[in-house]
Amino acid sequence: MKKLSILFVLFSLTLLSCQDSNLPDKLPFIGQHQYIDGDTILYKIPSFDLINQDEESINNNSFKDHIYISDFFFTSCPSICPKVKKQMLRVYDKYENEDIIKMVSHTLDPKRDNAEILKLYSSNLGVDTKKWMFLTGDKDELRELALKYFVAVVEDEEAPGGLDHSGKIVVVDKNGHVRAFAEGTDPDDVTELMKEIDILINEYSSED
Amino acid sequence: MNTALRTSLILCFAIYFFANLMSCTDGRFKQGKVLYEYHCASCHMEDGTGLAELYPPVNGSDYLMNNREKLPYIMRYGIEGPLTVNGLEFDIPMSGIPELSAVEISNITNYILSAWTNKLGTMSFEEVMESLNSNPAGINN
Ligand code: HEC
Repeated sequence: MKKLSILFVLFSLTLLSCQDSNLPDKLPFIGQHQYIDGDTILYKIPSFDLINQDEESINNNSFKDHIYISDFFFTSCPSICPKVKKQMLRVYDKYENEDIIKMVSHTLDPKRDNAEILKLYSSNLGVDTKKWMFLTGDKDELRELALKYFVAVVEDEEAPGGLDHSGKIVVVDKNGHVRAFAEGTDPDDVTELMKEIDILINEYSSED
Repeated sequence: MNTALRTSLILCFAIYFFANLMSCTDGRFKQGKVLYEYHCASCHMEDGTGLAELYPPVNGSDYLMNNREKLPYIMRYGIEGPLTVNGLEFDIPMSGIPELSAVEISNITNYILSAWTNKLGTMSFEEVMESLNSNPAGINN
């Protein structure tokens, strides 16, 4: 009996040590992948063409050397956006000096949120737009694109601000593949996300 | 009475007393807290710290400390125009929340006044009504 309990304790200890080394050294690829003739085509953010807070044109190529962290919002949003921004700001603060990381916030209300408004917003938020960009453009393109980042958008008269949407923060790698995401209103989820971002940074630094 | 019984009785009372005390501090302004989290936290955050120069803090705000009596009014009618809070300049209008009743406003007010690091006392229902019926100087709508 005594031997059995010692065995049990040892077994539990191995469980503990297992959990410790459980953090993966690579992140999964997320999204609806396609399987064509035995080939796997990994899900990718489709091409887009938008402008930033300085009216410079921005497309997928703008991020080919960077991991970027994306969210969707609008400046007059009274519901979840400020909370998501607070979490984006945590991510910004952590990776401010990590050159491989860029951040991108897309507006869902381009009619109101033109480049000028976005620039004012970024300066009120106190962030460097070289690191954290704010994008606007065609309304339908932005709505379509939001879906590709797993952000649901519903126009709803009843919703605060007339627009209901989810607050996902999404991590995209250099090749445009989605590698991680978090619920931007949940600080704990974003803490986990930052661990995953560390792993992705590591993937690239062990490459060269 | 035997000692065992006495000690256990005393223990029971002690536990009862502490349990009451705990639930008391917990339950104080409970409705105010729930309403704050529903109506205000999206901008001012659950911990009242606000967000950069977009949304001012209501936790440790010098503006609120100096303008306590405006709080109920701000909730119902909003506030706009440049505003300095703890040395930072804010200039995005806040709209009022007309669906809040006077009682609800009173509960949120008293929650905020003593939540987090705030030690701004309490406000009677009469004072709340007075604020709602006035247009405190300095708030232009
Ligand atoms: C949609 C975002 C939003 C919501 C929701 C909101 N506020 Fe505000 N609040 C603001 C902004 C922006 C200002 C700054 C206004 C200005 O610059 O004139 C402000 C200012 C204030 C101020 C004065 C400045 C300070 O921080 O001391 C108080 C007090 C305040 N709000 C309380 C509340 C309360 C209580 C609620 C909930 C009933 C609430 N607010 C809901 C955005 C909001």
